[in-house]
Amino acid sequence: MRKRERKMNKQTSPEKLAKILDVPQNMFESYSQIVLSGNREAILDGCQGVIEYEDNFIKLKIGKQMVKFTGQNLQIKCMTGENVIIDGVILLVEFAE
Amino acid sequence: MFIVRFLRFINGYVRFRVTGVFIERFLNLASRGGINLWNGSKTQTEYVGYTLMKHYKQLRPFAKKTGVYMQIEERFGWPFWRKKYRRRVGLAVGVGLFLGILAFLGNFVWTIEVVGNEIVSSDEILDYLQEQGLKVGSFKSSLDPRELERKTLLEIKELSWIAVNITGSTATVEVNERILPPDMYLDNDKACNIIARYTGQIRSMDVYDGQSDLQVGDTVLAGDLIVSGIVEDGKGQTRFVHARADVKAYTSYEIEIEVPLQQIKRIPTGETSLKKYLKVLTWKIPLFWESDQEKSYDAQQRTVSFVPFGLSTPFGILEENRVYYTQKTVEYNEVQAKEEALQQLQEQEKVQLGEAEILKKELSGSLDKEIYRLKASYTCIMEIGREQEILLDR
Repeated sequence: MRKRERKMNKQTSPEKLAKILDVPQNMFESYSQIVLSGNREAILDGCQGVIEYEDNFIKLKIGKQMVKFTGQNLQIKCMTGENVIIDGVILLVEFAE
Repeated sequence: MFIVRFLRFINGYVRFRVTGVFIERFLNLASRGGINLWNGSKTQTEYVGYTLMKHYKQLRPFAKKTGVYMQIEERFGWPFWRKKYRRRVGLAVGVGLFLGILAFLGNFVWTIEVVGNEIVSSDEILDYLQEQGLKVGSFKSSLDPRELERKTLLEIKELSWIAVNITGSTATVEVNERILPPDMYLDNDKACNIIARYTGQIRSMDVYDGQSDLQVGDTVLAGDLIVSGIVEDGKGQTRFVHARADVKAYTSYEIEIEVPLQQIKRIPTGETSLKKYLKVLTWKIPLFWESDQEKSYDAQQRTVSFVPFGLSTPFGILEENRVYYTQKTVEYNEVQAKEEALQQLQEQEKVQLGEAEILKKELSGSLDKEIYRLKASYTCIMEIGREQEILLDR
């Protein structure tokens, strides 16, 4: 259990470098970007796939992580390549490895 | 967003339904395959979404791979419309006619705007332009804006600059007004005499230019020379000047008023109404039903143009304010006729003897052949000088 936690907290080299130089994290490593418009719309850039898609939650793969949007009447409004727009009432955004 | 919708419409798009267990996988494959999906909604085993017509065909292998069943619900866009209406010639002809009429009507001037004028009224400019051919409904190709500008500038002296710009169906007339120099001496280059307009005795005489042998107290007959424009100097040489003088004289003046005892008079009925017309260019379409067309009336018209969002249109509402009257033959007796004549005399006095100083006034009235004649004789002090050009054979 401790091992797993340590693994989660372990920083990668680009992350360390960004921290030393005091520059934004995505300068050396590309992260997915999530733009939230209130809790009505979320725009994801860098989505690699839909894991689960239901009316009250949507799970998406972003890089090595997974993001879960929980809410009401959620739907994928638009899906284009790596971009996804989620529409509905978003109540919770969770990340998982 | 509109442009996206428009492009989708042009390319054609479909609403489709996917039924199966591995819908997420199907969506992932579509996304990786570069297929755009939008407005999707999913239930437990169903997904309804939209995609372009050309992309729908590319989705089939993914559906087969993931074991989902795919079916089109509705088709949208231009390619489907074209297919649906390809046999309806009337529609194509209608569209063609519409575009044709639009292009044809675009060759005419439908609105004229005048900007930049303060002293010269827009109506005056528009009237002159109308004489030259620029009016609502003019064919654009027959107009030569530069020629119009030149002619208008020559005709209307108060304008220093004019530009006629025809953009689309609107002709914009931009003007700049001239500041005219004050008229110090009118027609100073013309040689003139001052002659007597009426017979009388001179009371005062101020000669500004010219030569006069008359003096205050002299009598003159109508048409007599008072101040000569031919001036002779000490050496016996003559020169011509524009004679100017204020000559006031004691004169007798007469005004005669005739009032027939039988007169046709307009009597207002007290009835007024506001009638509205729909104005389309120069045509008027009444927006009311007129039952009695025989009624006589005086009308005042006002046009309210329809200008949505500041865009001028050839439409407007013409409001006509009517005041109805009837024509009646009125019989006057002598007293009434005299009253009427006195009233008219008062008005004529203001017009004819406005600046004169009335010293004495005598009235005499007589009835002759159904006509009452009122004769007023005045003794007054009035300006009697009148300019008369000296015609020179140069």
